[in-house]
Amino acid sequence: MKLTKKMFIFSILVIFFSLPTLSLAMTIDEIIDKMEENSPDFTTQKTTSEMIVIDEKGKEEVREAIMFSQKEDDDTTSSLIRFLSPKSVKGVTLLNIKNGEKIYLYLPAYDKPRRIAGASKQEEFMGTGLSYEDMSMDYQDKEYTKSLLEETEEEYKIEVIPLAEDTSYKKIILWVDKDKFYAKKVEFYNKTESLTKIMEIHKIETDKKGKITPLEIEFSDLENKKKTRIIIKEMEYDIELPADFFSLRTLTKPTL
Amino acid sequence: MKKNVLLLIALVYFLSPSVYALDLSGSLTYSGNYNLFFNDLSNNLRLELNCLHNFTDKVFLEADLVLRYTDQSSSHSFILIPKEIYISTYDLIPQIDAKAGILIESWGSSDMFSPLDNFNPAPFGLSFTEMPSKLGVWAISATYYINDTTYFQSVYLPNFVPTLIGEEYEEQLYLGIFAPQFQEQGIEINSIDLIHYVPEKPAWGVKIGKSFSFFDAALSYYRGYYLNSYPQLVEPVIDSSGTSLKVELGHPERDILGLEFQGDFPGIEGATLRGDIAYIIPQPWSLQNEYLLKDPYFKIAIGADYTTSSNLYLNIGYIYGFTYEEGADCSSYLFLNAKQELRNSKFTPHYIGGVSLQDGSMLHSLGLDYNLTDNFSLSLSYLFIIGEEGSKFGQIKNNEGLFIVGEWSF
Repeated sequence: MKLTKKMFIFSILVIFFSLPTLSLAMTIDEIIDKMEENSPDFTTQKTTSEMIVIDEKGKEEVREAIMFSQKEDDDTTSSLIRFLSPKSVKGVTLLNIKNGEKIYLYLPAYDKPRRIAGASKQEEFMGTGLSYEDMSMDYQDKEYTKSLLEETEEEYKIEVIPLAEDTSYKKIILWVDKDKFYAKKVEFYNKTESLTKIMEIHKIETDKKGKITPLEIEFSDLENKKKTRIIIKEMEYDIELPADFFSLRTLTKPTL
Repeated sequence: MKKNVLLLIALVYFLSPSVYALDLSGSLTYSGNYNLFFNDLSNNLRLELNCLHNFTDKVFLEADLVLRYTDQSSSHSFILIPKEIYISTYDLIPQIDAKAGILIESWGSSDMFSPLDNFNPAPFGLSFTEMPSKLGVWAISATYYINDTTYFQSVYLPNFVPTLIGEEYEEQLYLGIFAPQFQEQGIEINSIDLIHYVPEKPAWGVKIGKSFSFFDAALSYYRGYYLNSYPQLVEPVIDSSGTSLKVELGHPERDILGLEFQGDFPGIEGATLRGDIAYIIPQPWSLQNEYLLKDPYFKIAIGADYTTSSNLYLNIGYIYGFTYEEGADCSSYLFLNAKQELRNSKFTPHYIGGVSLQDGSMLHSLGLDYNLTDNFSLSLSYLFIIGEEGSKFGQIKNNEGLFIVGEWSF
């Protein structure tokens, strides 16, 4: 069975279900459908967030960023992230076109966009503890097999196996909240099946339609013993963006 | 003069309370160099102010002003440089982004020593410890975006601006080259008189770039002049105080056809390849019946960067034709830039090395960065050269030394 990329994006971005808990046995496809049903329905999105990078000793570094994203006609997502603070990284901008099909980094000191080659996408992005691939959610745009491993009182445990050879992860495990149908925890296993990253949703917001938005996400990089907590400060849906917003010319524009 | 007027206007404007929505940031940098060749300590302090003011969401005023102090110049200890001051427009004219004013225009994809980056002069000399700090020039730059992946850019400089070399250094340089020649003929040179001829003509360039699935590429054409000067006449002049050497210096014209690229390339798995290839057609330039520049030639800078699973950043580059090499002098070099991110540490050791494939001379720079906070960093490095005096790197042996750079961003 295959998990469509849209479904998977929604699962990562925390998409859920507003219906009361269905204790009757659900199939894996039904669970995923419920998750998709609860995803915010938007074409464009603007987010202002705080990114807190926490090292092994608990020392924190705080970065503010603004992010724009857009669902493209071909079901992919493009995004643009710019750091607003601290001053040492202010203006650094990452452009991801169509789920990481192309990734560009703009460093004001270089004053020209640097393309990040596909094979370099697993490198860490600007000390955030997240890779370019994580920032672009490139691992979503792949074909997967999925299976329900376990069902408890509170959650479903789902195993997702990417089929494409060029993915960074051999296996992904999702813990889906049975009440609200969102992936509250995601584990990423590398090619040797070692657990390398964990993503957890600590805080969500549910709107009147039952659509769920994550407000606090935490990535744990187990290899580098680093955590990245993303706190959403503001979020707007369906904002107007120029047709060519997710292109090279936006990278160097002084304000967005 | 024009620069000073614009600088004054900019300062008055930025200091005016009527300015609203002004985004001000900058950095204060101390750089010290203990030169082991001359046993000499030099200190520099540099205040850089970046200002941004948006008139509308499509029209901006952007400025980068530098106030620099150095204890190495007896006449110009403090210098105020308008590194960049320009008006920029984004989509004011549909599909066109444009800039006009004092600009820095960077061409080329390679990380260092791009042979396609020729619009702006840089302070004379080489730096392996800091990002090259180019100087802005009066220019107009416009980019027309044909579509999301293709653009056409043109840059026009009303007046070519050369690299400025310290007068004292330049006099010593040419005395060192020519005085022995005349001494062999029995003419003792007492002094030197340098006469500069800077072409008061425009320089310009056009570029067309496209983003392909796996890589980006651009073709460019530049028409302008060599940033460094070349001697065109050398003759001894006898006057009451003895024999003076009259040296006339000019800037040969040149056309540069360029190809730049960056991205994925088959067979180079795991690395991003960036490169620039320049085909340079010089104006034939001779001195004393010997051509200094004559035939067209290539200059190349190609590099690949890669980060290992242990966070070791590696950038390996091949260069044909170093910054100070032109024409028949061009030769091959290999460079390595390595930086190791240490887990839970504020220290980052780094290394820059280069080897001349022609004579085996080498350059090494070992250093350590310390990021005290997100906004304050220190860097210490040691540069040394291995090679004979006349070898490729041996001729810059007088740059050997210890370097310290402290930078505070605000």
